[in-house]
Amino acid sequence: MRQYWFGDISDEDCIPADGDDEYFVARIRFLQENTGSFVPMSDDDIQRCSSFRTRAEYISRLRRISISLAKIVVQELYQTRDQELIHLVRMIDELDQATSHLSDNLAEWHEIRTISSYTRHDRQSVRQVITDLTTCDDTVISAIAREMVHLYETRSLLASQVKEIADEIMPNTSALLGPLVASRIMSAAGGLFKLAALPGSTVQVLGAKSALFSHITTGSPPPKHGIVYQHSRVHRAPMKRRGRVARVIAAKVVIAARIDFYRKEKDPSFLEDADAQIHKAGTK
Amino acid sequence: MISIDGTLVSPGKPGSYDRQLHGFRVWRPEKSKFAALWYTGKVKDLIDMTSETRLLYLGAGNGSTVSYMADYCEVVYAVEFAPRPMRDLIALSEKRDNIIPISADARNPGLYMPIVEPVDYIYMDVAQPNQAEIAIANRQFLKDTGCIIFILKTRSISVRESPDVIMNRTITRLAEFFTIATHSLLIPFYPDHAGIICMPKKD
Repeated sequence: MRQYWFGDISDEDCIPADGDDEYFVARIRFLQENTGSFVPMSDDDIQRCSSFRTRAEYISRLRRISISLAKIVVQELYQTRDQELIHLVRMIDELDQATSHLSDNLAEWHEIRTISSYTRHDRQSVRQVITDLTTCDDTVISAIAREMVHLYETRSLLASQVKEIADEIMPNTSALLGPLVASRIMSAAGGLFKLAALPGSTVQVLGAKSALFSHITTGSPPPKHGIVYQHSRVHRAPMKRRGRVARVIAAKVVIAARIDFYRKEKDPSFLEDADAQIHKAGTK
Repeated sequence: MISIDGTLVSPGKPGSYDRQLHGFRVWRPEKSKFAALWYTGKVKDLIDMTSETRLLYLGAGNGSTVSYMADYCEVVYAVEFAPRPMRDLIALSEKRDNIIPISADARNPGLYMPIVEPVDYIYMDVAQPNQAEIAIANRQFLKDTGCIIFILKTRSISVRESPDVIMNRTITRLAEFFTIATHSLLIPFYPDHAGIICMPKKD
């Protein structure tokens, strides 16, 4: 039997499908999951077996149903939590950029206004300066400083949410790299499923796109690391060993992502083993 | 297809973003690869979309080319995979009465087998490394008299090889199933893209 959205067709007879839009949407979804037929429909099938009298009616009905179906599918694609995490991470990165630009500007501005207080060399951390500025006499500067403190608070709220989701949907990757770096790598890959499908060598240079392409086109030295550089084991390793550490970590990240995607649970023995190997790569 | 003094246009109602020419929508090659193919390739004798034409569009994106196609055609089955452009495409199909949006992966035609009828043209503009295989897998939707308008994104296949080399290799693969009517790189509009028009082989 061949099954299409408008009806079921067998050699002898046909049964037109009938119902409201919801029924047809459910019917198409069912057929998509249990592929009813690998034979395309013919014009004759439509004429013989659909309950629609005219071509216009056929098209307009199919259009209405397809729009409802597409809306449902899009919603479902968006509902996966890794997609949500991608947006959270982007938000954090944007916020970091914004606060870093703003705080630099604010500190410099303040230096000009109060010549004696801060010099470049014995400057306190920018963060501390800003906290102090919230109570300074200049109303404009203190207003901006208060906004900045607010942004820092928002950022830590976001970070704790990222940690929560990352620990839930990718416990192993998150434990291996820390929630934020793990989420950035997942975001660069485009999703947890995609990360789980990548080879380790790709993960190693995720986020180093321009360096990679300049290597491919002009033959400059290949990048050793992309986002994995943000992991402390990589950037604290001596220059000579960084490439090795990055490679080992990337390989372990891919395995962790696969465990996360397919098994969906934390695997302490894997993490212990991975940690030991990464440590070895950085010290030997 | 309608052209006025050599400018490709479509018979739709011009929107506020469209350029107009004597009340028609100008179909600009900078905005749409089909228009680029129309200006660079030998399309004029091969493709004619009318109010009877049924079209399957793979890789519909956010629907800008789809909207021109829909001006000409009776019905456009627009397949797109990514959720973000799909939202724009849904918004477009709510405004037009002949666009059927399908949220599915063109690599898996079984997903829209229950929906899509036999079509006159398949227009393909997908950013996948195995574009030729996608064309081959979807040829079952094509009428015997139909043809595939294949926009080859060479950069999705390899960034190292030249577009020429990739085009020729793709054509060799397509030739196992299709008769190639014409092919050309979309220079100067999209130098990394090629347009290939092919018909199913007659047994």
